[in-house]
Parts: sequence; structure tokens; C-alpha cells
Amino acid sequence: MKNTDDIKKELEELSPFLSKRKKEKEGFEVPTNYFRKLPDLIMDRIQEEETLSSSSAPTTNWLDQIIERIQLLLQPQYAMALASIAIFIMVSIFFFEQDNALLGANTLAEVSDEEINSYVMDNLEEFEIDLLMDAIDEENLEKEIESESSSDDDYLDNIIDDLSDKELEELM
Amino acid sequence: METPLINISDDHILGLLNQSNTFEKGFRILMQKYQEKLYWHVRRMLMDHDDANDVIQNCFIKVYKSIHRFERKSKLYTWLYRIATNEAITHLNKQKKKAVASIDDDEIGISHRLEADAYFDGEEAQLQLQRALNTLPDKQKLVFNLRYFDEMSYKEMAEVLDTSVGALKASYHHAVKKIEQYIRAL
Repeated sequence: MKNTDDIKKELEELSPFLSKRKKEKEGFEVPTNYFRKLPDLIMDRIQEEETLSSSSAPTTNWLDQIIERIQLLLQPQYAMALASIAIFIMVSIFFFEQDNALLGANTLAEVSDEEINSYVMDNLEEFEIDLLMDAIDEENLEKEIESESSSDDDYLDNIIDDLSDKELEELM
Repeated sequence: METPLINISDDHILGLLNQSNTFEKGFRILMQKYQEKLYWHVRRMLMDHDDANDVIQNCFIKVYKSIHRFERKSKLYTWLYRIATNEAITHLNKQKKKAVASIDDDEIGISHRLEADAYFDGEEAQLQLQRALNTLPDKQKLVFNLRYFDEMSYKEMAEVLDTSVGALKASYHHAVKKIEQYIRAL
């Protein structure tokens, strides 16, 4: 009230002409029930804007989605479970590999030399030449050459025996 | 008996706005308490009801989004006036850009718009005052409205307009003199 009186007094001093005029209503009007409806209108607009902003939120690309999931998995409640699973998998792999190594050694011991040779000959293309060269026993190689050359001589003798004199002359 | 909304203290409203479960209730009370004052403040600046309606809705949406940043350094009432004033000035500036060299910019154009406005029912004396107000620069018009119609103290006006009390007193003085001259000349 003091403020109103101060303002009235101030106007009287500044402009007696204006202060004597009736301080009339400004003449502006509003539609019926405007102020009763306005809060609901505003709340509706706020809800609309919130719905729009949530539905039009930019969709993250696949990389962001992966990062988001990783971040989720790194939260303490998931991280403990993940760590337990990882330890279990590592221990399982360790034991599995050990079993496999033993199994491989035992199985090879039971295979005969003939079977190994036959496997090597069938899959010759799969082996490197250097590896094959190292594997060949030199002594065996000489024996093989010798036996091959003696078998060649026998073969020639037989052929010559089978030939007639005339055929031999023509051949010479 | 229900407490009239005008008597609900700002502290109580801010308390409701501080908690998520009472936020909407608090915001509705805030709107009901201040909507008329803010609407008329904006309407005096823009004249047209549709413009004032748009601005007051935008103003309250802004309040809704930024009330958590209100730090109680000023009164809630002056903070709300400040937002409403800024919104109205922004709207006025947009209108001015649209209507460069238009007849709507001069006082006669404004009078014609008022006479044609379905929500203006003023008599000749009121129309004279509106015409006189439209001869003032925006800042002087704003200062006159806040002092003459809203009966604000200079201290509150200084908070709303971020201007010194001395500058506001000078603006009001000039505005009163110009309005008197204009009306006497009619």
C-alpha cells in the first residue's frame, strides 16, 4: 500500500495533469475463461514438448551402442559375474590343452612305421621338402638305391633272355 | 477452507518445486498465482492478445525448464517478470524485423490494430493513453508500465530490467512528460 501511495505522490509531482485523470482500466480484454484454461494449455504444451524430445532423441550408431553395452557390463554387479566366467573359461582351456597334449603323444606311439609312411606318401604335397629330406635315413636311402639298381639289372637280363638273336642284332 | 492462491507464499511454492513428487502441483500454483500479472505485463507491451498468449505460454515453459536454476538472489516475482520481459522484447524485435517500414510500426497503425482487436474494448481516453505510450521508446514504455500499472518499486524494477534505480527514475520522468505532452496536444 505504501508503494501505491508513493507512486501516486510521485505522479502528482511529475504531472498533475496525468494524476488527475482517472486511472482507467486499459481496455484490454481476454477470451472467456482464459485464465482458468491457461495452466492446462501450458501443461499440455510442456508434455507435448517432452514427448517430442524423447521420441526424437538421436539414435546412437552401432559403435556407440557397443560402447554403451560394454560400459553396462563394466558396472560392478555385472563385472564380478563376468570375471568369474572368464576365470572359469581360462582354467577349462588350460586343463583341456594338457589332456590333448598327452592324448597326442600316446596315440602316435601306437601307430606303426608302415602306417606313418603310407600317410606321408598319401599326403606328400602337404609336407615341406626340407622336412622330408631331414626325415630320410641316409643309410636306408643307399640300400634302396642299391636294391633298385640290382632289380633293374635283373629286369634287363630277363628282357634280353626273351629276345631272339635276330631281334638282338636289330637292336644293336 | 482452501487458501486463496494469491496468499500462498513463494517459499511454499519453491518448496513444492524442490521435490519431484510435488513439482507439478507447485508449478500449477505458481502459474495460477502469477499468470494474470505476467499476462497483463506482456499484453501492455505487445497490445495484441494472440501475441501475448504465445509469449506468456513460452514464458511459463521457460520457467518450467529453468526453475531449478533460480538461486533466490532476487524475489521469485521479479525473476518471473524478468523472463516475461525478455520474452516480450524478443517477440517485439521479431515483429519489428518482419514489419520494416510497415504502417504497423507507427502509432496510427497500432491504434488501428487496437480498434480492430476483438479483445480491446477501450474508450477514447484509453486509446489516447495507448497511442501516447506507443510514441515512447520500448525501454521508456516498459518502465512506465511497470511503475504506473504494475506499481513496482524502483528496486524491484532494477532487478527486472538490470538497470540502476537512478536511470529508471529518469526514464519514468521522461515517459510521464512525453505522455502528458502527447495527450494535451490531441
